[in-house]
Amino acid sequence: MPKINLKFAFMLSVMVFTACVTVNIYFPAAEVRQAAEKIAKDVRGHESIQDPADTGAGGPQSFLNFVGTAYAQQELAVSNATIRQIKERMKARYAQLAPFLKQGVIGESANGLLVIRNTGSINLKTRAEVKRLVSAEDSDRTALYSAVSKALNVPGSELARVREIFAKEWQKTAPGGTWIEPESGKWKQR
Amino acid sequence: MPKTPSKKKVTLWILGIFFLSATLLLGSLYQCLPLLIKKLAPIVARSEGYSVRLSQVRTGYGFITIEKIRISHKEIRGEIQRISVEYSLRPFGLKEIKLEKPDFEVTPDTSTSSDFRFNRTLVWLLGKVSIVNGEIELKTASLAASLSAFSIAGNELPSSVQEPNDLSSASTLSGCISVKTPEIQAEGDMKGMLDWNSTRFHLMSKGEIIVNKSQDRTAYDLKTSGRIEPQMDGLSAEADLAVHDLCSIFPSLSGEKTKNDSTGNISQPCSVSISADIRYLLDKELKVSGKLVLKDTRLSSISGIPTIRGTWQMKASSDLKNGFIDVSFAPRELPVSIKLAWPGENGNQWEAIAGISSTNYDFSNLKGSLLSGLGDIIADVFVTPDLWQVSASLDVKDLSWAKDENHAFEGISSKIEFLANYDGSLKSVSWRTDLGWNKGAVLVYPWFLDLFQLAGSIKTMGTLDKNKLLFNKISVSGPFELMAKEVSLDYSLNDNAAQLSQWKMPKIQFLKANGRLEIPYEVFLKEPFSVNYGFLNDLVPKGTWLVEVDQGGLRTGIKADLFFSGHDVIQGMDLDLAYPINTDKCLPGLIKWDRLTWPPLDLEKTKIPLTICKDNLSCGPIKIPIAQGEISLKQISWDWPASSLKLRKLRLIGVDLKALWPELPLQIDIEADLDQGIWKDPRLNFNGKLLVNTAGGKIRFQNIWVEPLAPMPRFGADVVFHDLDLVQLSDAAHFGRITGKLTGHIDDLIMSGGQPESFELVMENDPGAPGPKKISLEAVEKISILGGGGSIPLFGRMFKEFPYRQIGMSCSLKNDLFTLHGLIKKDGQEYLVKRGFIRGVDVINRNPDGKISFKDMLDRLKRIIRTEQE
Repeated sequence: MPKINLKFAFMLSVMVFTACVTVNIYFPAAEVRQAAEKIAKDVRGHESIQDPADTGAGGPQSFLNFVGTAYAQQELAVSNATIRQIKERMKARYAQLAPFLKQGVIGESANGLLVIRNTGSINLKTRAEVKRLVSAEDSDRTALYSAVSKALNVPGSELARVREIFAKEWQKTAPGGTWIEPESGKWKQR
Repeated sequence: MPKTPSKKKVTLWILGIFFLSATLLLGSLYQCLPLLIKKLAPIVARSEGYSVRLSQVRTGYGFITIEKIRISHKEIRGEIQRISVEYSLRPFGLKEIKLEKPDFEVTPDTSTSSDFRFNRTLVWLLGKVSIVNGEIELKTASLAASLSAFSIAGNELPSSVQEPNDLSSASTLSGCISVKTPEIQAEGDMKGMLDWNSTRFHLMSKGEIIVNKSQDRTAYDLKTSGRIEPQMDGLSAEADLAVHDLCSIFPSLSGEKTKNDSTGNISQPCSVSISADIRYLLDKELKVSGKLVLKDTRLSSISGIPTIRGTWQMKASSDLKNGFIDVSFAPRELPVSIKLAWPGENGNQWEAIAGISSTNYDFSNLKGSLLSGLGDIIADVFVTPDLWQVSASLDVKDLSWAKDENHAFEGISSKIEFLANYDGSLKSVSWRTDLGWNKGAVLVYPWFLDLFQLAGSIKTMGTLDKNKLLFNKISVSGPFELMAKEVSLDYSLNDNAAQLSQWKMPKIQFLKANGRLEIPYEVFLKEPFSVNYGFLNDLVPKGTWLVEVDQGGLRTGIKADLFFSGHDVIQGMDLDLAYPINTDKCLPGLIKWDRLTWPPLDLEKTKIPLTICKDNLSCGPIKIPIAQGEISLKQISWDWPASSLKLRKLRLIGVDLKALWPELPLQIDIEADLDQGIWKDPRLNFNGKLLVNTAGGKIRFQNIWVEPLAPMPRFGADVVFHDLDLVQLSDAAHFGRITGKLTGHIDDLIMSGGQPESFELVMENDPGAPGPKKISLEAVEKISILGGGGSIPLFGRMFKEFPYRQIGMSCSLKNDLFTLHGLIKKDGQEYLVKRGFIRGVDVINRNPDGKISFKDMLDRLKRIIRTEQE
């Protein structure tokens, strides 16, 4: 009988120990969404942005040199120098991308990247330009998602969720005529 | 006097005798008719080359019956058990010729001729024939066919035959058919009918085909209908032929697999239909012209040829050894003609000629090719067993094609000439091509080529054999000039010769190419990559390039001047790069320029030697005088198979930044001793330190790394500084005036694209430093602004300077949030500046847990700058 009790006690203690194991999973969805909203609005000009030229550029003698160029940035839910500069680059590129979004040449995919939808209406030279623009934009977006994830301590395994949240914002702020993919494989035109 | 008979009696007697004689004669003839037929028929048949023997002939009123007729001929042997001929006397006419159990063996001999005429009389005669239980066996060198138990009966349509319905005078046929060839044998039944008035026929056969080799069996279902037209010089016939269930024997006829939704079964449509106009002249030729339709077959999906129209002619000869075939067809509207001739036993060789000729051919007709545009196509192929020649000319206009988003061309105008010969004795092909282009655009992403700007031509000639493709000569003219000789490419084929198993590096005896630098720079660098690297838009090279390949290896030379944003950056640049192709030896190279001007840099005549091996490139030692000092690098090496980049002993000696930027408010001298730089994607890590001597103190950078290829180029280091004179620093920064020495460190400094991304800064005055410790009112104000505000009381403003006991603060940046703390903690307060013993000013951080956003910090810095300007 005592042996049985010992075994029982051992098993009980194992159960208690295992029952105490806690796995914390946290995905900062609200923060990612807030960052995505602000970045998408800023890149696509939905908020007025101060002209960097107004701030002037510091000379090399000043350790405050970066003040002038960085002042135009908007405050974000999450940001750092990489995010700010990638965003600036995307904003400068958006003026070139917008006409092709409106024409339905390129579309906003469900994974947060641009894809080429229909090149039938453009010649080969323009197609090459569009592809280069899309390639550069997607490269920046990929780097942006990675930087945002890193800043918010989002593990690499959750990067797809970050992309999806950003995809919704890009689609929301896309101009009329843009092909969007709200769900994987289902495209519609705004 | 005898009585003279009257004329009337004489006439009656004569008529009586005549009729009696005639009656006797006719009776005799009638009695003798079987004998006459029996005797005369062999005589008549012999005159036609036949030997005929009749066993017995019986005649009666309206019929003739002949028993056991043996027929012998060079090509036909056999017998008919009974022939019954039925006729009517009033009105006179033939009713039926009935052949019972005919049994014949036919062995065609095409070397003999015949005067047989298939004419209307014969058709009429055949229409009266019925056959009961016949047997015919046909034997040739390559075929044995038999028709057994066949019967032909007039006006008896079998219930299974539904059409044609208008066969009012049709004969129906039924029997069994058997065909044997060396490859296959087929057995089945046969039913059919023939309308003797319209000469239309309808034949059906169902059965089984067996492949001799594999014994695979498959069912066949053949239907054909058409019309036979007797001609003066022979026979012509039209026929529609449908064959089903042959695809398992001829897989190439199988179409795409389709799924039956209701049953889920996979069915393979296989439909072949032929309509032919057959013209057969017995002793001259056989000519077939017609149409072959392949619907839903694999052949049609490959070639895109649903219909082949052709003519086939063959001279009658023994065993088909003499003759020719002349086929012309137009797959996808592309006219093709093929002539195949074989002289036969007396000739030496067969020969074939194939030709394609089309003007303004529309390439969009080619199924699945994605081509569009027009072109003139002329191609001829002449083939004999030992030699073949191909000549082709293609002149295209506005040709477009797209494989996918990355590979396409449009609006191409080009002319291609191709000539090739195969010599059977040498077992090699010699060929020559001439290709010219002057219009259009090509996309091979990321490169886009405008062929109008890059108009040119390429000419090649060479040979091809089993294991080697040899270019005897290649010449290119246009955007660049190229001449190559003896370029060979070795390869080997797989066992089935269907695909190349291995390509090897080409061997080049000699190659020389040269051109202007502007075009390749524009096409291959600026256009494709300026989206990511904007500086390429401002960079303009002007010069020439040269590539030479010989036994010694490959050498590349670039002579150019470089301009950036319109300014002359490098004058007299000369790149001499080499690569060992045919040797394992390393080759020397050189980079030099006459002058490099990149403000504030201004370097005169510089030479950088290189060593290039098969797997790596190295250069050094390099010494570049700069800013009254020198940058030296013992060696930089790049090993591309290992993706390894190493720098050895990078040193900066006595570099005076003020010499480069005279407007700098401080004297800054840099010295660096970086023993090694090692690339570990995406970072280049340096071992060693970089020292900056300024403001009477030293700043030491260590753990230095750079990420030059990151989305934003990044740089990082740990920094330690000490003995920096606060007077010089505060003066240089226009931060008021502070006396004392500054010491501190910055951990994990990361700069991204020239902007701070993160750091942890700790700085304080050196308490052991000699001299007074004073801070000006302006400096206090600016520290106050930096700390988040706080005004100095009016009383305090009476003094321009305050003594302090200690200054100390820490500042960190992460995710664009600054945290500022005072290092001096007393009575629960955080002091950024702690006043002197008797008087002075305290700057207290009232919000020690607060975080300052990047934007707020920038606002504060701007306020400091604005205060300074006011």
